Amino acid sequence: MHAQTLLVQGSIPPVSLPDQSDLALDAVFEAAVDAMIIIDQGGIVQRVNPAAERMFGWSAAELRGQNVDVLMPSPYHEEHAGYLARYLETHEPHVIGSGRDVTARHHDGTRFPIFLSVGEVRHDDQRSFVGIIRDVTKQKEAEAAREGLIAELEAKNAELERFTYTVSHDLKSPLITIKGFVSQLERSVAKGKMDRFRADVGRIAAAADKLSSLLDDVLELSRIGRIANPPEDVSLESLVAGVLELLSATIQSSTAEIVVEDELPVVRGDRVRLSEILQNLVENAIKFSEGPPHIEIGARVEGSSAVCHVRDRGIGIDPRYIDRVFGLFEQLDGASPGTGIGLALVRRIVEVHGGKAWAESAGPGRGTTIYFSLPLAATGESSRSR
Amino acid sequence: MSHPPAKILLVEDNDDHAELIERALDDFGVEGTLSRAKDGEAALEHLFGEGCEERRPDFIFLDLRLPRVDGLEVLRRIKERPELRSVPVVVLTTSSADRDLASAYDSHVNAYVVKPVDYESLEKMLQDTSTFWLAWNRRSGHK
Repeated sequence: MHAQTLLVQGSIPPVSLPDQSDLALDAVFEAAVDAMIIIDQGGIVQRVNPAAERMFGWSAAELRGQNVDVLMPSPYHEEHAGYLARYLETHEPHVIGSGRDVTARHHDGTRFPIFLSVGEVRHDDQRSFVGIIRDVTKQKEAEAAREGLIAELEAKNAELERFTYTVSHDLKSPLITIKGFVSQLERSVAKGKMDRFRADVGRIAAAADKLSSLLDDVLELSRIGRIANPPEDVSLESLVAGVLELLSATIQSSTAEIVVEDELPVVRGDRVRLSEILQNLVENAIKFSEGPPHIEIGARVEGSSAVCHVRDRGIGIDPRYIDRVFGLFEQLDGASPGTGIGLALVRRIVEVHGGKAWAESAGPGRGTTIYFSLPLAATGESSRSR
Repeated sequence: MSHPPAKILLVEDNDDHAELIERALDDFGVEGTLSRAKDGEAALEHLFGEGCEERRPDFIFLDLRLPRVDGLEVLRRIKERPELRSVPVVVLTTSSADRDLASAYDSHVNAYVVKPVDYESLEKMLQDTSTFWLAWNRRSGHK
């Protein structure tokens, strides 16, 4: 195969090449790092270079005489003959003269991304085409990894921003109380209002305690992402049993009735953190019940996740505020005990495990169900060496 | 000067802050009756619930971060009602975040005040804002 004219770019007119350059062109063809494949106008492979043999896993001898569409996965495989026929008829280039990203098919059937440019060779009334192919697998992988990292960083940044915002607001609040009532103390003494003085000292002490517990919560929340125990297969059954044991005193004093479904799945994660999820949810269910609490704990398998739930028949949540319950220091009832960290902590732990946490309630007085998804343990493959 | 006492609505979930604000207004001698709503829902009930015309405030202090309905939502609801639009709303919050400030002004807040940490500044700030707006109300014949 000796090219007389070679069209490299659609906009460049055909160039006549003197015969003595054929040897040089042969050397280019053989030594190129990119794959090069020459086909005739029927799509039949005429010649391939060593780079193409390596890239596609075919030998030159095997490929020669085959239709080039064997190197293409669907739908290119089926459509290539049509492209070629259309070009020969209309001379409207789609690939010729301009490169494009397409998918190629290796001899073993795997697909890989390539950057393809095509040149046209005219000799007399015959045409052939040179495909120049670069394997861009690594480049695509790097791009995907970069996009993933950027998305992850953006999410982390947004989370940090929310966190800073909440923390700065909520920590400032007790500080205002402390400073405000400290300056009131002097006035009370001056006016001889000793009852007010004592009451204000109480407010100051309570605000200082609140500040201290908020700081503990913030540290706890920030630890979740940073300090992780290595993931292990965790049986939800034993996890639930452990948490109920831990909370037995609270459960007894509240006379809570707790129903646990049989045959809970095995999940994968940080056992200590997962236990904190359940502990928080059971405590919440008890806290937000009027009368003896009734709590159901269960899970179902959905794909590669376990969707767990803790359901109570307690005070419920107005559907309008249901998304706010997971916010840090968010309390729907300002008078309820605690700082409002519980569900923020739950969501954070679940998200660190790659799952989701959400709440459902039919409305005030009609109970609440908190759902959370966790990755299932890889059954049967757990012994596979890594 | 024989004005009826001004009706002030304080929307504040934090009991201690509410007490401080009340004392500051007292110390300053603001002539008025103070009503308090502990969350956004209670504020909306006060403003739009049954008999709301009687209670309609001359002046509103509004915290932003509130249980149930947040302060920005309360602000939007106030300013979209023709009969309430002219009631001055001063956002009184611990948040100095730009987006809160921007959202509040987008919703036509009359003043945005970051709660000062020390009481003297809080007192001074409350005096200044309430004096200004109550005087403004009277001059413009709102009440």
